[in-house]
Amino acid sequence: MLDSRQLAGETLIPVGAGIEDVDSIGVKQFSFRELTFRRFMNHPTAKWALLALGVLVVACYGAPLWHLLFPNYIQAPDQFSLGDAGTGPSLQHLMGTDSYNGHDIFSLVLYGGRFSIFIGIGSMVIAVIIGVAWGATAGYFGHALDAVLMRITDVFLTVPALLLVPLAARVFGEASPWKIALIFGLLSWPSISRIVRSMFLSLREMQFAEAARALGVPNSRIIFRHLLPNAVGPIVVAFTLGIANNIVLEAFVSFLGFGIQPPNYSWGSTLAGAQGVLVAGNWWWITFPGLAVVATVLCINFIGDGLRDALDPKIIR
Amino acid sequence: MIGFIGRRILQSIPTLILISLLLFFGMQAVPGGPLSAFAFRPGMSNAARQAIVHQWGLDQPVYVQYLQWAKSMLTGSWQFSFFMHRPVREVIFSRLPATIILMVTAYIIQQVIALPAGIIAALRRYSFFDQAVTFFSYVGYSMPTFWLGLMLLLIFAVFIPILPVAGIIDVRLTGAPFLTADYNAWFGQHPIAGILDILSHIVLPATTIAIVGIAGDSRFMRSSMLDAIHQDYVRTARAKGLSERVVVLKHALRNALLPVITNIGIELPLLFSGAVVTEAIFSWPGMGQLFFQALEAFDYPLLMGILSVSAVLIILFNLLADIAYAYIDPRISYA
Repeated sequence: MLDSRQLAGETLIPVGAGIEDVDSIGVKQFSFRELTFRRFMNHPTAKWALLALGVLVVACYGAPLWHLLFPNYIQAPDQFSLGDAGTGPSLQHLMGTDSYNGHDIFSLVLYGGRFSIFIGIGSMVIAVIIGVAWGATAGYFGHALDAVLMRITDVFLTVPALLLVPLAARVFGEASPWKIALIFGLLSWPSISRIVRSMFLSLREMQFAEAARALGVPNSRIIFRHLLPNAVGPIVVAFTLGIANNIVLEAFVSFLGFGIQPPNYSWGSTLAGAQGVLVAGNWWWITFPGLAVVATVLCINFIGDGLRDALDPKIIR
Repeated sequence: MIGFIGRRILQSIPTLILISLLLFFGMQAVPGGPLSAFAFRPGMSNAARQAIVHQWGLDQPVYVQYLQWAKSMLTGSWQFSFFMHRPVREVIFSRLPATIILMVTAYIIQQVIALPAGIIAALRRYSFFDQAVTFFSYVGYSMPTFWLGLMLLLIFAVFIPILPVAGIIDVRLTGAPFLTADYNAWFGQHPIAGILDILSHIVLPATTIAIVGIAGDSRFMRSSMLDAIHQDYVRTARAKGLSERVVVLKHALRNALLPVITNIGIELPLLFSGAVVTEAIFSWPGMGQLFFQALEAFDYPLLMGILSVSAVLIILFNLLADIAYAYIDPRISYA
């Protein structure tokens, strides 16, 4: 697929770079990984999004530490002091308090972010494992197996995940973050398997695959060593964008009360109950946890786009 | 062409059967089974419980229950809703119009804005307008639909109270709930007031769905148009001295619209999901709201009905998109 020498020749010929790096032709050779990394960092928004996402993740996962350092400002959800309910943003409560229990919303956003991000990433790890195995099998072996596997994939793609997730959450009983991540993973793999299958359908016909088969390389080795590395790009992009999707979907499901529930918090479950007091004008409760979702998802989408462009420089932008 | 359509319909039958099997046996896996719906009446005697089990046919083997359900879906009234005490088909058909009104309105708003925005952005690549469209589409695409709905509600119904907070009609005005006999009679007498009433209620939910849709569609239209502009036949058209207007509208745009049309089939599940979300937020009396009501009560005949209808609708629209595509693009063979 992508030959690193060819790409290096096309896109990156450092002028006057360190003489010791330059080989006899005068062109520095970059590996595919180096090239992708460089293109990613040259993307106008992706690197800033990566930085911002890093800050968000540290802020959320460091919540217990912030609680120890600033106990007056950051409270742990299990030891909330019942404060003034429904107060607007102030120095004491940066994002105000909720209207029922007087929980500090800033603390909820930090603590809740841990589970939102965990569910986003955890679910897509599961989805990639299943999706790659499923799609690779269907695409590589083809014929009847392909038809059967893809029919099953169609089933999952035909009923909107939005309807299946709350239903599955109900089936699985009491929802822990792990269970929710598992449910989202079990419903997110079909789109990955579609991508992997279509990549494998064309990759298996390539000459290097034929050569490997002619040499008697076992199928499993052809799939994992020869074909899969060539399909990594689209999988990584789908993985990234899937995280964003699942964070949004989790927020909605938990908002309705079918997902994460107290004593655990996610951005969505923080919002549960907020709609009831909207008419009273308590704008802060609904605004800030939502902004946390938007900021995170925006960063992930930018990163996903940066990855797509970095992995496939042929796209017209 | 007819062979192509027939084959596609035949292909979707196993998918539908698989979906129904998955859903039906999934429902059995709920802790307590379908009976869990009745568990909230603790004082129930054993005999009464047995009577309910027998009445709903839940004492039969699961596969018999499935076959009865399938038969009812194909020929009957889709079984009885546990809690509405009406046939599921009747319940769903009473809710379908509201969802369709919402989806169609949202889709029209979406396309009227997204297509021109995407085309202009592509024609003036890297201009201020293009960057604004790109920025907007990123933000819109990253926003949870339900949160966007709540924010719009906050702004346009609470802070600047110009639009209604929830529902599809104002019962104080009509005197009867949507689509009841009394409402229909009232609507017959006051059609203009009735339409204005629905319009004022639909603005917020439809805009919510449309904003998220515009974000995706304008980007899609932009990239499709960019793709078309760089084709050889466009260069040829320019080279032979055609006016820019003809080149853009006749040569580039018509080809750029092809992928956009197939995208409609892919978009329908998204549009439907958007409707489900906004219905839950705006108490819009459609299928989405019905779904969450049924889920709350675990009314599983109703849940099965809603899921089956949405699956059939999505398969149908995918099929229509495929047919439209094959019809419009002569390069596609029906094989």
